[in-house]
Amino acid sequence: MQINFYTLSVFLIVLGLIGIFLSRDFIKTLIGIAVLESGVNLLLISIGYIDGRLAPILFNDELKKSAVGMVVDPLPQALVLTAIVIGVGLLAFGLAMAVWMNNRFGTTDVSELKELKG
Amino acid sequence: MLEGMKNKYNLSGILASVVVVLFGVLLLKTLNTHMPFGKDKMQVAAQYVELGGSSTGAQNMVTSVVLSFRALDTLGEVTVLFASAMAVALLLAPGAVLWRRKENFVLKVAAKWMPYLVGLIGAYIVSQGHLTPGGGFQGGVIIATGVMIMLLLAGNRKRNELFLHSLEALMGLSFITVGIIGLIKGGSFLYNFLPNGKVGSLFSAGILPLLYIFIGIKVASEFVSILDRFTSKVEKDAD
Repeated sequence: MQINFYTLSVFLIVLGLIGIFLSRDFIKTLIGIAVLESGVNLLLISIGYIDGRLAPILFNDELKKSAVGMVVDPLPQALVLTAIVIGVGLLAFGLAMAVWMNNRFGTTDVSELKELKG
Repeated sequence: MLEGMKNKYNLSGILASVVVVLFGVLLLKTLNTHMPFGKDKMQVAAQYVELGGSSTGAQNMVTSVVLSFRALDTLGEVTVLFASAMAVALLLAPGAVLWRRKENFVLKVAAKWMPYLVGLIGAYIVSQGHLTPGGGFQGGVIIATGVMIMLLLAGNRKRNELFLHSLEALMGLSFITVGIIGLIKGGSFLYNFLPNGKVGSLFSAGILPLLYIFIGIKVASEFVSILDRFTSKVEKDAD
């Protein structure tokens, strides 16, 4: 049986978005963003997947000669490599913001921050 | 208090969630009709696969996309990572009391040799980036993990931040220098001016392993500085 990875990745995307909408704690929002990110990454990878083909690594002589029609799409994988790194950067920045928020206001609950209300 | 409990999940949030679920269903339907799972949808990448090994000399095709066909994007990516390291440094400004914690026996024993072992694995993954899955970003993070174990035991010892930042800057500069040498020698930025060698051997793929080593060290130093910021700011409650 073949698993359709679109379902799983869309599930993760929806879960992440719901997490972002329903959470008031900033750290939980960040967890939502992380889940959303993994969903998007998995979606990109599964779009590049092709039935019965190998990983885009030329590990034997046959592949070294010509890999046309034998490997899956390497481009989404390269893009996801970038996306993961940027995601970690974003997460680090967000957590730094949470630490700052906690030091400044004593809470990471966004709904309690009345100072910014316009 | 009661009001707070009642408003725990606001109406707009629940409404948005319902919309998101509908969006998810539509997205899934669209994906399944327009790009069926497991079918060949290669367009741009078909040329990369065709040129692949012969043009870049890299065994790992993902690496040849990241560092050759789309090397300029990778330079942008490294810049974004640098920007986020800067932002963390700005938010968690130094001058705080360092993290003081009772030394854990397990950590103390492990910290004697773990950083070297982890560093070795990281260096391996960086240097084999053009051959096997892995590369500068992944290996760099692993090296940073090794250094983190050391940092956990560093206590109140002063970190040499200047060294970290200059190492990072130097590696960024080296990446651009290699790009400019390519510009002079081959007429385009990041032109592969070194011989490709035999596909699959350690010294192959021209400048790609060189670029990945620079990226690896840069990423490692960036992550170490980010992690260092976080550990040196956890104070206050600890006392």
